[in-house]
Amino acid sequence: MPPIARRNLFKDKIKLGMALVGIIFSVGLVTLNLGLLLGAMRNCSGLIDNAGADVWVMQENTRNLDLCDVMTDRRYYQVMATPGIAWAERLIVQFSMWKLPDGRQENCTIVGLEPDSQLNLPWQMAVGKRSDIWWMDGVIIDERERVRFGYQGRPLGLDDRTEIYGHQARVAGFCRGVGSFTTSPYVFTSYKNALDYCMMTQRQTKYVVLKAQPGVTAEQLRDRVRARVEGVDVYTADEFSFKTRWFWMYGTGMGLGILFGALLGLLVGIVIVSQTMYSATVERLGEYGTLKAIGMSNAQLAGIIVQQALFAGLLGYAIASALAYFLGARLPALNVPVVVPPGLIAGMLLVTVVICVSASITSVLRVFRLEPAIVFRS
Amino acid sequence: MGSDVVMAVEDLRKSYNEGTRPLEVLHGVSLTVCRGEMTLLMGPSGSGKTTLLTIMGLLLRPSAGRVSLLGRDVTGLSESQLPELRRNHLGFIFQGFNLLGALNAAENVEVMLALQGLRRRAARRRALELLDTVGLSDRWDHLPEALSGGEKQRVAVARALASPAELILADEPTGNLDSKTSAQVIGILRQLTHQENRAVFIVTHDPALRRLADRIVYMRDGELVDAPKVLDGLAAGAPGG
Repeated sequence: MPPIARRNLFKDKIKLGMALVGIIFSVGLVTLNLGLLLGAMRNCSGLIDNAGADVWVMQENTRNLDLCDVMTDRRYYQVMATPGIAWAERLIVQFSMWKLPDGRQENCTIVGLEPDSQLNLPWQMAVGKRSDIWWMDGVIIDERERVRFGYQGRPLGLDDRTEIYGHQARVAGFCRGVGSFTTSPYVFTSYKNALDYCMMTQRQTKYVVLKAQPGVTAEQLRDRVRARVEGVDVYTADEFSFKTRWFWMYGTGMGLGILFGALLGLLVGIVIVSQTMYSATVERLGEYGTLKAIGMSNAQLAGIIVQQALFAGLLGYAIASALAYFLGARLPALNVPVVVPPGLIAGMLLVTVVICVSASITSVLRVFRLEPAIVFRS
Repeated sequence: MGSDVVMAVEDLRKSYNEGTRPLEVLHGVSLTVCRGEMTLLMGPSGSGKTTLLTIMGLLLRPSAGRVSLLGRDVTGLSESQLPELRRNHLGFIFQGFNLLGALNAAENVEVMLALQGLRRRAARRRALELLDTVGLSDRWDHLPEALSGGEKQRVAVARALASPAELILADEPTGNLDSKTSAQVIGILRQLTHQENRAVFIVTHDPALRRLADRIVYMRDGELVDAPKVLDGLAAGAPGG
């Protein structure tokens, strides 16, 4: 069969353009929304996922990583006595206030690490070394925060001095790609400094994180700690990661909001493409009537219309994917937590097919209802 | 002659709902169309010619009566059975040409061939042969918008020829053509009728076609009027249509 669908599509370039705009808008919006959801989810639990600990111990009734009450550091010693631990560390994760040179304050989240910490935090450095926090009140902050935490247009620089809750701090390095879900960036520092920056006493801590010995699973270690220590919540890293993501994404409704945005993009795309396809079909009703009259079946006619939508869809998908991939690579530098992995782009192909097939339905039904007798009525 | 009958309609009636009461446009029409015959259906506008043609093309169901194609009663067939009959036994030529605007001349013919199951290359070869038959071999790659009215109609004829149709139904095939081009198109249809032993049934107002027809039927107010008398009148040069 001659390529009727393709020829029809490229014959009317204005309609093709309109369909492409609909598809690009829809696929792009859905991709970026889902990318935002993925990015936000990664940020929610990035600290847990990258730290490298197997088990996390915390004050009972903790709902997520960022909102955790203090607990007595006796728990640390109680936990330490559990068999099967390779290493254990105390860890502070706590909101605090960073004083800018002009006196304004910015929220931050202090992450206090013990000396010679085995934790993989921060997990990627842009400038300096992790160990730089051990010298002269050193702190490490993500490089994307340099402008926000700078002063009068001058970005935050190495060795810049500041105050966190009235205590001296010195910028010792910048990490990269270490975002938090909240607007408070992580500020990595020594455990000792973190106590000051968070107004905590030496007898308090936030988390005890554990690494299981070889041959002991995270679940086994978790169960052993649960059996030995009361008044604490104990989770494997995976469980705590999921709990934190669930809280921020669905407990706060934020994730549902993003998903709703994606759904809206999908619907808008279907409507735009559907309208365009329908108007193109109505314009060619005479031709469809002729095809029906000369013996083409409804299934073959439906095939032409769906093919037409799919051609436009694939073209739009290619452009939208390239655009989304480009934005996915650039937006994180602007502190927008968008992640566009190849899997998401591949998945969007399915979404495109759904958009195109759904958008063809009204046109297909119109042609099904078309009486071939119209060919003699002109 | 009985085995030569391609289509027969018997006591055909067709009514449309006009407001609250039905309006009958065909009042018991009976007619046979045979192989090797070019039949003209003439009559004034609104006499029911197009309705009869549409029913004969299996594109419209009659309200009453019977339609037989190659001896088989096709009146009660379902919608899903009709496309196959139209594809394999009927060919259509329209006043407005009805070519697909996005396809070139050869591709317009290939559509019909593809519906017969021909593969792409074989269909292209056959389409070029058919375009050659209608004198358009040098215009095969032109879109309809680049063809004249006569050329478009010749492509439509080639498309009709592409089907193995025993009956070709043409609605005012020369309606949009000048007299010279009309003669060319009708010449092709005449050749088709006699060389390929097909039946050609033409609805027309064009009096110039009378002398080329093997048979003329005349319709008035939804009925076929005494055809022999009309023919006699036509032969004597009486005005028709």
